[in-house]
Amino acid sequence: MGKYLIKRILWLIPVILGVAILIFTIMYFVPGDPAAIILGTSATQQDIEALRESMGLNEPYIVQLGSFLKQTFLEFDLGTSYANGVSVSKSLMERLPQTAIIAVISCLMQIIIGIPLGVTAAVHHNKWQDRVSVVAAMIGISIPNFWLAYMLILLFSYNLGWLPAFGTDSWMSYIMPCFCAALAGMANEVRYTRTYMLEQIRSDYVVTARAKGLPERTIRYGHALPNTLIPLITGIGGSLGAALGGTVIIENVFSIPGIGQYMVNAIGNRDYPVVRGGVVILSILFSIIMLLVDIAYSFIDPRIKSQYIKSSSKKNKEVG
Amino acid sequence: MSRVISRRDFLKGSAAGVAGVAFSGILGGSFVMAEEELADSITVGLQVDPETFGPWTMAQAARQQIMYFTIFEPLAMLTVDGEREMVLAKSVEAEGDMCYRIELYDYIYDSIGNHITASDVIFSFDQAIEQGALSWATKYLDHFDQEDDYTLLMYVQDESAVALDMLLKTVFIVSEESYNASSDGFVTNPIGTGPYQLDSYTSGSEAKISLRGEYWQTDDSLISTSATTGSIESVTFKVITDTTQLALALEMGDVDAVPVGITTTDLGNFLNDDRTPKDGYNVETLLNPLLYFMAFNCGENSPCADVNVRQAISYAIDMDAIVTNVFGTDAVTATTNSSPYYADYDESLDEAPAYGYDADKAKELLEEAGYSDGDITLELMINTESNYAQVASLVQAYLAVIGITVNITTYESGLFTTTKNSETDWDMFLDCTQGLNTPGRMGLLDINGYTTGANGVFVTDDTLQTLFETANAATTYSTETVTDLLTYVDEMDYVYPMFYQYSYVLTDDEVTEISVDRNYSLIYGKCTVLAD
Amino acid sequence: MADQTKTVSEADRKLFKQQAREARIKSFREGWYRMTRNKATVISLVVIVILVLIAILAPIISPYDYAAVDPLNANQGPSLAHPFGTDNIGRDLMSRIFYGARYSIAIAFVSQGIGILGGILLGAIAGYFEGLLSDVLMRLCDILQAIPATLLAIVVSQSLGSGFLATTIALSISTIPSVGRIVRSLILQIRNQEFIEAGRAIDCSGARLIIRHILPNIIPQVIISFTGGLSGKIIESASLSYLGLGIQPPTPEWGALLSDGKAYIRYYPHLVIAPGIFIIIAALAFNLVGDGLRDALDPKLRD
Repeated sequence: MGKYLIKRILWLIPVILGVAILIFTIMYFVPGDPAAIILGTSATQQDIEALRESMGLNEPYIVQLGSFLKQTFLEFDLGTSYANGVSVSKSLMERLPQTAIIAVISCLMQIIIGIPLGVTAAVHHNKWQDRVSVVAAMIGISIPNFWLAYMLILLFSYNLGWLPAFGTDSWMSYIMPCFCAALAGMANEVRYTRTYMLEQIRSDYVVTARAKGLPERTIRYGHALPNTLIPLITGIGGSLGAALGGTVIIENVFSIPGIGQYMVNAIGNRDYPVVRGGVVILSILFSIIMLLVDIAYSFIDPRIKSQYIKSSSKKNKEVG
Repeated sequence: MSRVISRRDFLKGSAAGVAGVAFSGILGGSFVMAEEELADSITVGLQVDPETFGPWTMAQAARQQIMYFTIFEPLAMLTVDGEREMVLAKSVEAEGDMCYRIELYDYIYDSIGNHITASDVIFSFDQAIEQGALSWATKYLDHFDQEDDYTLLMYVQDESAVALDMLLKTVFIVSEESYNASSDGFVTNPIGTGPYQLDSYTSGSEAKISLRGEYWQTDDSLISTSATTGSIESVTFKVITDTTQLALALEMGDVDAVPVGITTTDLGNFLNDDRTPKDGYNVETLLNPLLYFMAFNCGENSPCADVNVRQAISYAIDMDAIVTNVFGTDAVTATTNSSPYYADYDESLDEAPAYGYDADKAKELLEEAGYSDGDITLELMINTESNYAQVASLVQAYLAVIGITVNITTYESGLFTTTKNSETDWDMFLDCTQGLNTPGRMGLLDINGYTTGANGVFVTDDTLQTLFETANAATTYSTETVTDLLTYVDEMDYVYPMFYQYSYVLTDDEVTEISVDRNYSLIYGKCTVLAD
Repeated sequence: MADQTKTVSEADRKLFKQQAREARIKSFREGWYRMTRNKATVISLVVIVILVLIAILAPIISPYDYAAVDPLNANQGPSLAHPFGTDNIGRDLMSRIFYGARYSIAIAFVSQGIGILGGILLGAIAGYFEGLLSDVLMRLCDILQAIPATLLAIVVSQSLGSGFLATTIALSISTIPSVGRIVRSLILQIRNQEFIEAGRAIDCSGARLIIRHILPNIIPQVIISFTGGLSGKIIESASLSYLGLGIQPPTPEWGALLSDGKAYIRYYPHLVIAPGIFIIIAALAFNLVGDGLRDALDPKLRD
């Protein structure tokens, strides 16, 4: 187990390195000249050329890549924004809390609302509770979250005046963004929970337990539910990771100064250091979350561990 | 959890000490006439985040509102009427050819008490050039000679008419000592000579400035427009990036004023059709220097290389109808490639557009060029700003009438900027530019700005270049030479002028007097705001 | 000796090929039967057919030209002449939505198609050739999956520009690794099954094995992945347009219509509501069909 963990953690290093190289390469080949954008419409080609030179944009690909990797991973410096000269890591850290708040709260909403709904649906399989949950979940994953955001703003901010339509002034400001960010995840949570729970309810051990006369409540919540929760953990970890990237759009609708808004602006401005830094940092966070999920998963479910041992011994055999 | 920068420590009983006292002795006397109680603070809505307070970063709307002339001051500035007004410089005088003598006040101190001398001016210019804000000026500015602690000689190498004012107003002067003592180059804790200082800044959401205790200019008669201090002790800026929400914030009273960023769509909530404010609001209306145009690709790859085709297109478009349709009364059809905003504009050019709507004439011209119905397909390039898409769609509709098919391609702005330089990717593009004067905004037509031997619309035209250089040079710059240039460009139809817009600084009616500078920044000290 | 082996293998091959085909046909027939018994799936299938017909027949059934401007009738609410109203330069919104179906639905199918094909290719190679190549491909998947999908789509979309092909590629990138993994694991399962072992014993070439024998057996899973992802692509493409990437106005893609109309949402909400409802209807129909197909083709997952 320890060996597995160490291997899994060490594996993060080449993955993150790969992410950095990939994102650098994409941004390198992005058409559009950051120097031209910085200088604006009135700049002449000569000005632009001079600025390109001073920004090091005329260096060959491999030289630029090398200095980027060295700076990022050896000096732990994400550089400064082309647009305003501010340290990228500092800006990211300033903006991370807003993004994290939305990601975490929307994840909690998924768990608190999604799982009970899914369980209800499974327990009342094919009754009205089931149908309502399933239909609601279906609609939930079919609504674009930014469209829903506009509809909610239209209703609660413009027409009713109940909730602030933008900003982060109070906890009220987070209600709509978190709900919109959570909706699709919530709907998925309902679907997964329902499916897993049904699987459990129909499984042999439940049938046996029933035959032995265990009360239905104990079977459902004492045995079926805990088993259902195991696969859900991966789902939650995954959706927390997805939420980190997915709040991009929500942040733009609600004028929330998070990482997503920062990066979308940066991409438009060809602010390479910001885009690269943002992607690398988000990917690290994302990978760590997935790692934690893996670890939790293998602790909870011994089958995973044994599977891993089995497959690795098989591999060894083949190599040998 | 957001990072908040507190600068209260520096205040020591100045503005902070009198907070809550509406009328304090240090604020000057301009408010005394008011009978109603005046507010000591104002909240301003911004559509973009300032991101940094470095004095020499590229101009950006939010930074202009927050720190230009409030926290940082230049040697001189231009008033809203285009007059030069001294700020840190006591005087600026020509000293023979290509040289100006600049004299500073000898009692300038920044907000932490450091003295400003001639060497700080040189330091600030060097930094501005190094950090990019002044990269354009390297071809105008030659060097400085320091004569004594408060006198400089500025040598220039070009006689462009506007360069001097640009140089004087663009570069903010700071103390070298304060700058070097700053840990991050003033990015988050700017220290300038202006009457205000930054109290706090939360990235992406809010900034606050307040009056500092002792402003260096104590002589009221010499105090510049920008440094006037009225009853406004502190200004809070809220960043609201979505334009619809920005308008809503003003309506709901979340902000008192929105200097830039309210779009045409939302204007109807604040203004009547005749641009007078509706009940509950006040407005300051200014012409916007931006002029929108459609450039033709005059290189040999495009059908637009033929002047008849260009003119046919120009005659085929009913610009008045487009303007009315997309902008209502918010924009004005341009008759030539300049507008009344520019001092060098000859008002008689207003009378008739170079190309009024005339579909029959357009068809004739197209036939003359050898094209019949359906022969031409043109690529029209726009960027992602939403107004362009609508204007482009209407242009497409008008050109379809004379048998020209138009494909509209939308690029986001980064790609748009670079695609313009490609001779084969477009036949026409929509864009807007501004400048300090008419030639200044027409850089697209200046061969010197390009390394390819042709200008931005791929024209090599000696007549054009001579006219441009004559209009652009300080010695020959005049309404006449500018008009000659405009007339020739219109005649050749290299660039089809479309429209210019108004800018509105909107406030709620608690702001009874609005004063703005050329950047549409509110001059907070000259505004009158009633207490709630 | 050699001749003998060959004749035997010829017969064997024919036999297991036939058996495999029969099994497949049977399972498809059963699947189809199961699917058509599910009312929601059938209705959704009908909705999708209607949407596709709208897209194909847009020039015929649209009441107006989608680009025709009519300033005198700008900003009208729904009426008989304009069932969904008009936008601020008088274009008929219904015609624009009908034409938009072409882009939105085509983007969903094409991007999902590219993603699935890419995934199959990657998964097939990684699944069949164990060793270095497989490891490298899987690590590539790790890297692609370490970047949040939305973010990846945004960055790639930016780098490729705003055209149709560029947008479909940007949307397909995040599908490739996940499909690749599924395909690889399926292949790992299948390759150890008897008929493949047999095929290998009789010297079938690697590519041939994959194409003729392994791929047909993973078709149900592929169909499930394909339909399951369509709704996501519709929504993602709209999101890209909203951010100013992807397909842009004045092209009437549904997301572009949304981003065009969002400035007017307070005054003319129909400009945002109508295209939004079409997106939801399409996404819902794709989701329901996806679920129906999954239940029908993969009995293990049935409830």
